[in-house]
Amino acid sequence: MTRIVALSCPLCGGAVAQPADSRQVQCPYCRKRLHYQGADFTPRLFLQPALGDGELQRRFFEMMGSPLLPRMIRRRSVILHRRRLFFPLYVVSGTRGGILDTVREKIVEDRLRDADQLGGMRVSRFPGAAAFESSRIKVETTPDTRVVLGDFSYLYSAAAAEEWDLDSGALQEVAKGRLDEARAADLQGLAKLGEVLEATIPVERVMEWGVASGRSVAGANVGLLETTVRILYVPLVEIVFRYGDQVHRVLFEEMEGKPLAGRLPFGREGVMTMGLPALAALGLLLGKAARSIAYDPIWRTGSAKDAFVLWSWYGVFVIFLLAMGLQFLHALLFSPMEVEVMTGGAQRVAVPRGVPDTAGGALVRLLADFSGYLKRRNSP
Amino acid sequence: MSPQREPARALIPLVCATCGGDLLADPGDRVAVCPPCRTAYFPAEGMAAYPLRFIRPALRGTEPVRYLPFWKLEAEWVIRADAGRSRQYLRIPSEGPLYFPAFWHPRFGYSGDITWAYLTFPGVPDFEGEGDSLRGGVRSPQILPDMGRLFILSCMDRIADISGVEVDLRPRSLEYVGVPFIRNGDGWIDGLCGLRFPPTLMGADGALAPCGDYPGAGFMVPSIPPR
Repeated sequence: MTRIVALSCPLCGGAVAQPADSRQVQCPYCRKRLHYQGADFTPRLFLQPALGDGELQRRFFEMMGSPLLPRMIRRRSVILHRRRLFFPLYVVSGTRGGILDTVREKIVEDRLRDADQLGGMRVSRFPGAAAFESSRIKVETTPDTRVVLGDFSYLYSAAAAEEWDLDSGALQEVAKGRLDEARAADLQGLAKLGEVLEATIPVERVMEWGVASGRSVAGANVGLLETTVRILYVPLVEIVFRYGDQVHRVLFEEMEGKPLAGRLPFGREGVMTMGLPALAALGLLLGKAARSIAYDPIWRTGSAKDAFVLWSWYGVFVIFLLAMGLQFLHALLFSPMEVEVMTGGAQRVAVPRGVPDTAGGALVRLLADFSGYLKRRNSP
Repeated sequence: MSPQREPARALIPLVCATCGGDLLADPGDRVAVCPPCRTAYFPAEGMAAYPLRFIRPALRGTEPVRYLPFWKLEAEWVIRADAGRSRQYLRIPSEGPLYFPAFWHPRFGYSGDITWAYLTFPGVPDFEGEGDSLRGGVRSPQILPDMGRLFILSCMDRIADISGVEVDLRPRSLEYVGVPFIRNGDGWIDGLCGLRFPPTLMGADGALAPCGDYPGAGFMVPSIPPR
């Protein structure tokens, strides 16, 4: 929890506001600039939301036009609420240096004389011995060292992104390249614009698992010479809406309006519609097969018993296909399928709570997995 | 919840200890300068003071020269290696000025060409400046001796393997220096040696690109030290 600190100007004694994005503050009374020495200070910045309500709504309805969603979702969904969140990221910058143990690789050509292998006979002096030579390429490694000295700047999630179904890498991509647009974050002022999520992940853990993890490499003696940490708040919008008797949620980032995460209802009518041509093709094939059995001379066995067996097998095959189709239909109608929104607006069909354990269910699972490869993008 | 009161010493005024004038620094800077007194201060170290100098440019362009903040660490060092390798390292000086950028740049390698070029430049001309302030300094001078040692090791590493080699570096003095840069086409060149730097070094107005936003190449990959 961020504690509120009251500061006094050392020159005039006036009350000075707590610093936000840097240790420099200005006394509002004597106008002198001051440097804050407090040990627990973390500069805070935020990215200004860039999308207006109209543009955000347009992006939301554009996403609703996906063919994976029910056709009437735009008309029949009811937005329950919309809220802005400021998601915290750590911006860790600094310098690291040290000596890294590595290897140097050298490609060498090893010339072999197969003739010399013949029982130790020295055949190299015989005429034509060069014809028995061959070469083999091999890689020789020798221990080496490399000096590492450079600056770094990394972004890490400061809160549990998984709780919001967020991919932390997606947030970093959103923030990367926009640091020059960041402004000083006054938490009280920011709270008026939206809900400010707390940085619940300790920065020490980030330093241990992230920035300093290079030291875990065997032989690495690379240390952090200097680090500074800032917190950057990224604006997100959460839209919660109802479709039918289900409530769904989707998260957008507010700089470019790209969807980041969410769960949407799956439009089964799309699959049913796609299935009609497939059924028609199957019917055509079965009809052709029946016609072939009835009239094609290749199937004429001359025996009524053989003809009976042939038609029986045909009937079994047709009934088998019918049973599979009914099972698939059952699994399709009763599987709790939904559309998962991924970073950038890509969508895929997900089956979060399992399908009926039937052959038709296996086909449904196959359909869901296949849709993951299609990756349609709704965002511009 | 009532706010907690911090003692008055939590804030220190950014004024020059010599003339009492306001120090100049951008909000994110960690180094503040007083151009009239030619002094740079590092508030995080209790207002430690360092001389402020500028390098006189030897090259000129059509646009005004822009100065970027560097730390100049004057030091001497001793290379401890076996006799065979010591002979190989003879090309490397044993003392001199090491210039390191006072700003952060994620693609900044071993200080690049400037550190080596200025170390081997015969007499870098500096002057007191023309009233310029020097913005954008964020690097702490405390890490400069370590950076200097690693830089010397990196130069040696290009000549021969440095396993078992040590460098004992002894700092002599530290200055805050403005290094001149001149616009050259889309990119920049330094005003002394003409070393090329990409456009992402700083904006057209001379403002340094903020740390963390480097879509293109940063400092150049350092070249082999001149023989």
